[in-house]
Amino acid sequence: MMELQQRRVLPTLILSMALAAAALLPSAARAEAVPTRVRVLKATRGTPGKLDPRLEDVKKQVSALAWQQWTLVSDQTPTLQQGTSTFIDLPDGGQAALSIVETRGNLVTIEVAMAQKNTQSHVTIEKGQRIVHQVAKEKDGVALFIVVTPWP
Amino acid sequence: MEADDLSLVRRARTGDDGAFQALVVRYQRKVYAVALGIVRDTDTAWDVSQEAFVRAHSHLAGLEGEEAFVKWLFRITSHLAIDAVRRERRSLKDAMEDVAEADLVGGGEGILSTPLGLDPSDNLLRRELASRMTEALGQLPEIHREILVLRELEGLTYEELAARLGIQKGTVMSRLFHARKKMQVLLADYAGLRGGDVGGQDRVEEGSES
Amino acid sequence: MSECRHYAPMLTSRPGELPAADAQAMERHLDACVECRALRATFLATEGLLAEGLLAKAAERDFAPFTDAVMARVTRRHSRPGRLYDWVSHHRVRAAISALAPAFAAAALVVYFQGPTPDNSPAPHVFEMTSEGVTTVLKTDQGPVVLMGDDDDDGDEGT
Repeated sequence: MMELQQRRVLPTLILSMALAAAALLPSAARAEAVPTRVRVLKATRGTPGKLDPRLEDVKKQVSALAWQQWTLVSDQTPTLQQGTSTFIDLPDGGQAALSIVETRGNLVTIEVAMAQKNTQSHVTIEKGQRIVHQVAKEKDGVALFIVVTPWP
Repeated sequence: MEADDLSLVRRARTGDDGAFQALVVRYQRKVYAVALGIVRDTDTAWDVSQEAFVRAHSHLAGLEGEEAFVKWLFRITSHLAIDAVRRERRSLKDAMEDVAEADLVGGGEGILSTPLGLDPSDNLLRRELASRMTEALGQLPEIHREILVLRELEGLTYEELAARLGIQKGTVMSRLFHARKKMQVLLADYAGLRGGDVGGQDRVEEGSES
Repeated sequence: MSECRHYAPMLTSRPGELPAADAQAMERHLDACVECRALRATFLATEGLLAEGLLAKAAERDFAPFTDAVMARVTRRHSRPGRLYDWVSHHRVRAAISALAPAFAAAALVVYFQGPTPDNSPAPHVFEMTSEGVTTVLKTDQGPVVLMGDDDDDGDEGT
């Protein structure tokens, strides 16, 4: 399997994306596009807790976690596509790849993948909700998360 | 959680493997019991139990609060167990969730309550019945096994069951009813053979539980 | 009898699980219905026995090797390089991602939310976690929180 993937390494990003589009599940007759808000967060431990005011809407979701201090690193509003990944730069040099798997009315399934990690998640939520997804393990006291809000 | 549980989790979260092992010892049997109730097979339950602890270990640092760890441990256990039997499901449909008139026939016999009602302190009878129930559990469809185990071993409320299983609260209640009813039918023969007063339905009073 | 059908699923509810009006209505029904009273007594008589039986089965088992086996798995997990899960090889999206990211070896987690029920009533906010992944998912009514496990092979030390 690893060998097969290495043979699939392509020299340019554009060609990669074309292959990606061809390889995707034909789950919809037309390509779905969903406007989203994507924020990258830095999470650290320590008291007192601190939450960037621009992250007030994720307060409940992060309150269960061990990191008490949350900082907004970047905030963008890409339109996620089906069949094409949107890359989000992370402060540790990595990237998160986001794409739409499918939509059904008010529900959307979003894929969150990290190229440098061995994970790929499909998460389905409905309008009004958001995904809080860890994208980097804690290192030197800092963990990274992204928040994906469809139809912001 | 007991106070020493809290300190064990706290220490385990800092990487103290000895503390984590102590937690394993403390919860291994209950985790195994939950897994066994759902998967039925002892080897699979053993494997699921170990995997549950391994998964819980890998997330020690990410969850706030010591109580969250134990709750998470049992959640992982039931998820892994349910996953392990997913392919064996006899039916994925939520058939028979409604309560039909036929389901209530024979419901008023109080067959099981009678033997226990006569002597609530009969520990031997209680143990035998508990053992029979465990065997009977294996004869129930998977969806009934899992909801009974989650209700009885993890003590989940209707709301928690609805969230865990992805069904509505009404479905939780009717599914539990069907599961208990089926269990009652499976146990009825046993209670009858014990010589319990099966004609006692007229004497069954409210609050006659053991 | 149709009243009995309505109340049957409520018979083993715990305090606070039913709205007060329903609980009171059920008690009134039980006052009048011998069959339902008997049915509830039957159910309540066996409550707790299943847990006792399963725990007794667990008690019969020799758990001496269990902890060592768990710790051995924990150690293996930390030292193992990235791996693929079988089902992922059949997942076409993985092929797309591997084309995009040369270093990518997909060990996939599928976390999904059950869609609306057939009668279109609002679906509960629920997540399932497959055994393929090692990621933790926390459920909230505002959406999921997905945490990475220590199994990821990015070279980081364990916690």
